[in-house]
Amino acid sequence: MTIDIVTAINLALSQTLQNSANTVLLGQDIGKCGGVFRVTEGLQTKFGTKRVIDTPISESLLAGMAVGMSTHGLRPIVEFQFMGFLYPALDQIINHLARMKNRTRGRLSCPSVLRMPYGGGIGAPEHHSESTEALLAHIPGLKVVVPSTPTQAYHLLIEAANCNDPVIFLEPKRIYRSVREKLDTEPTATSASQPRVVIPGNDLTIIAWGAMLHDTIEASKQLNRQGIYPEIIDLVTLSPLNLTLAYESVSKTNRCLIIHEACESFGVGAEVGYRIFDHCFNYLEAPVKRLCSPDITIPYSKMEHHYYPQINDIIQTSQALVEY
Amino acid sequence: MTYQHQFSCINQLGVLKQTVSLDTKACLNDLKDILKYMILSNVLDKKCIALQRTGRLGTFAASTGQEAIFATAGYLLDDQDVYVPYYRDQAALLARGLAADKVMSYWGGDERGNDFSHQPQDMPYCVPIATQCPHAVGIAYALKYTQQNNVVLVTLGDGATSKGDFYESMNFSKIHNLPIIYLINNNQWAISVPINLQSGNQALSQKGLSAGIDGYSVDGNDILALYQCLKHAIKQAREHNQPQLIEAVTYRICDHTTADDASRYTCPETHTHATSLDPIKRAKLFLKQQDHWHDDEDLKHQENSQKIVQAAAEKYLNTETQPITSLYQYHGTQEDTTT
Ligand SMILES: Cc1ncc(C[n+]2csc(CCOP(=O)(O)OP(=O)(O)O)c2C)c(N)n1
Ligand SMILES: [Mg+2]
Repeated sequence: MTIDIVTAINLALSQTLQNSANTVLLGQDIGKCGGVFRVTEGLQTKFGTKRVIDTPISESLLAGMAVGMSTHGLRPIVEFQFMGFLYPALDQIINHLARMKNRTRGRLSCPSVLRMPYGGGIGAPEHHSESTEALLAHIPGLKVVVPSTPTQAYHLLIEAANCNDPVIFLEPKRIYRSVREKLDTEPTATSASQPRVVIPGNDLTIIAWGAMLHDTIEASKQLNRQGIYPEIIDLVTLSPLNLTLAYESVSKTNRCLIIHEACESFGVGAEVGYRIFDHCFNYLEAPVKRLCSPDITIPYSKMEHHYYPQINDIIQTSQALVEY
Repeated sequence: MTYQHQFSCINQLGVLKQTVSLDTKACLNDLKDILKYMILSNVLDKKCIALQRTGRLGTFAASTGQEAIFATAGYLLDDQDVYVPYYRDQAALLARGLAADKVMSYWGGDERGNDFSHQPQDMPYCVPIATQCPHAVGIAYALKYTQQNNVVLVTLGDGATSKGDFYESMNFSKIHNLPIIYLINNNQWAISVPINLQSGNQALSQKGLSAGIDGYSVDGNDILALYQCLKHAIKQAREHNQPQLIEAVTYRICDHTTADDASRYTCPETHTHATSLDPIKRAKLFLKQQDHWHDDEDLKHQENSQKIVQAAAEKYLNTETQPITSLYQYHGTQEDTTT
C-alpha cells in the first residue's frame, strides 16, 4: 500500500505522541477538524484534548508558548496553518526560540518543531502560497528542513521531534497528496536531514527541494531524451547547510543549477550558489545559475503560473547551461 | 464606559418588542433598502459557490446567515467614511456600491477585485487575521488629524479578537479618542474552533473594557437592533470621537469557505436551529408587519437580485486576464532589472 505525504506526517506525529509522553501538539483547527489539510486527523480522538490542543488565532502566542513549554519539560509540535500566517510569531521565534540556548549559555534549550505548509501552485487565495524560507534560514539557531517524499517526511519529522533544539519543518503543500510511495519505517543509516542524490548524472548538477524537486525530476526525464543527464540533489536541510555532497557532484559535472520557488533575490539559492562558486571555482565550466521566481509579490491564482518556474523553464535553463 | 447584554428589538416572528420605540418612518425605509442588499448578498453567495464548484472561481467565503450585520454596516456609513473589511463583507461592499462582478474577480484570483473604485478611500480585503485593525486606527488618526468629520468602521471575526493586533489597536484608539467603530461578526466559529475555545469572555464586547471602550452586544440577526446600535455607535464616534466596539452575535450556517466541510465538526441540531433564525426571513416578517414589505416583493427582489448576479457572472467570466506586465507594474522601486 502506498501513502502520501499528509499520511506520512500524520503517522510520524502519532508515533511521536505514542512514544513521548511529553509531546503536545498545538495549532488552529488541529483537533476535531484534523487541520485544514488533515495532517492531524484522528490524533485528538486518539490522544485527547490535553495533548492535541485547538488554539485561538494567535500565532505569536503559539511560538511564545513553545518557548515556555520546551524550556520546561514539554516537547511542543506547533502547526501554523499557512506559512503566510507565521509572521506574527517571528518576534518569539527570532528573539527567543532561536536564542534561548545561547542567551542562557546552554542552561535552557527549546526542543520544539514548528510545522507549516508552504509554497504555491494550488490556486489558493492570497497569502496562502508563500515560500519565505529564507527569512528563517537566515536566523542562527534554527534548523530548517523540507521533505519531498512520504518516507522522508516520516523520518524527518521523527528526527525533528527528537532534536534538542528548534526545528522548522516546511511542508510542500502542492505535493501533499500527489507524491505517493510505500512507507518504509525502518530508520536509515544516515540522518534523514542529510542532502541526498536523487538521480545520478554527469552533465550538470541540479539542486532543489520540496515540490520543485519533483518538477526537476520530470524535466530531467525530458532532458535524458535529448542526451542530457543531470545529477539531481535534494537539499532537504536549508539551514544549517551541508553542501559536501553538492561540492562532490559539481566537481564532477562542472555545472550547477539551483531551483526554488521563492523569489530570487536574497533567496536560499544565493547562499548555496555562492558556496558552490567558492568551493568549486576550479571545476566550474559555467557560471552557477539560479532558476527562481521573479522579485515580485506572488500573483493571485489566475496568474500564478507566470510566477513559479515551470518544467519547461527547467529544461531550457539546463540546456543553456550545458551548452555554455 | 458601558457593557450591555445582548440587545435585540424584534423577535423571531418579526414582532417589535414592546420596549422598543421606532423612531422614524425613515428608519423603515432604510431597513427596506438594507434588506434588499441582504438578499443580493445571499444570492451572490449562492452563485459564487456554484461557480467555485464548477471550477470557475477560487476558494470563496460566503456570509450566509450573517448578511444583516454587513448590509447594515455598509449602508449606514457615509460616502466619505472609511470601511475597513476583512473577507466576509460582501453585503457591506455591495451596499457601498461595489459591483457584484468585482467580488467574483477577487475570489476568482484576480487582483482587480480589490480595486474598490466605487469608494476609493476604503481598504481592500484583508486575509491575515486582525491585521486590518491597526490600519483602521491609523486611518482614524489620519481623519482626526486632518479634521475630517468622518469615521472608520472595521470588521473582524470572533477569532480575530484573540490577536494582539485587535487589543493593541483598541488600546491606541482610546488613548487618542479616535473616531472608530469595531464591528465583530461573532458567528461562533473560527473555521472549526468554537467560540468557547477562542475566548473565556462571556461576551466579546467585554473585551472593550480592557481598553476603556464602550462595548455592546447585539443580536446579529436582528436588523433593527443592528440598525439602532450601529447608528448610535457611528454617532458617538463621529460627534464625540469615542471609539466603539460592537459584537454582533450570529451563527455561521455556511461552511467557513468552499475549502471547508463544516459537517466534520458542527452539530446538526445546532445548525438546523441556527438556520431557522435566518435574518432575511425575520426582516421580511418585521417589515411586512410594519407595512413596508409586501408579499409580492419577496419574489420581485429575489428575481431582481438574480438578474444582477447573473449579469455579474457573465461579465466576470468574459473579463480578459490581466497582461503579464501588470504583475511587475505596481511594486515600489525596483532598481536592478538586469536578470
Ligand atoms: C494570522 C492568520 N492566522 C490564520 C489564518 C487562517 N484563517 C483564515 S480564516 C480563519 C478563521 C477566522 O475566524 P473568525 O475571525 O472568527 O472569522 P470568520 O471566518 O469566522 O468570519 C483562520 C484561522 C489567517 N488568515 N490569518
Ligand atoms: Mg468566526
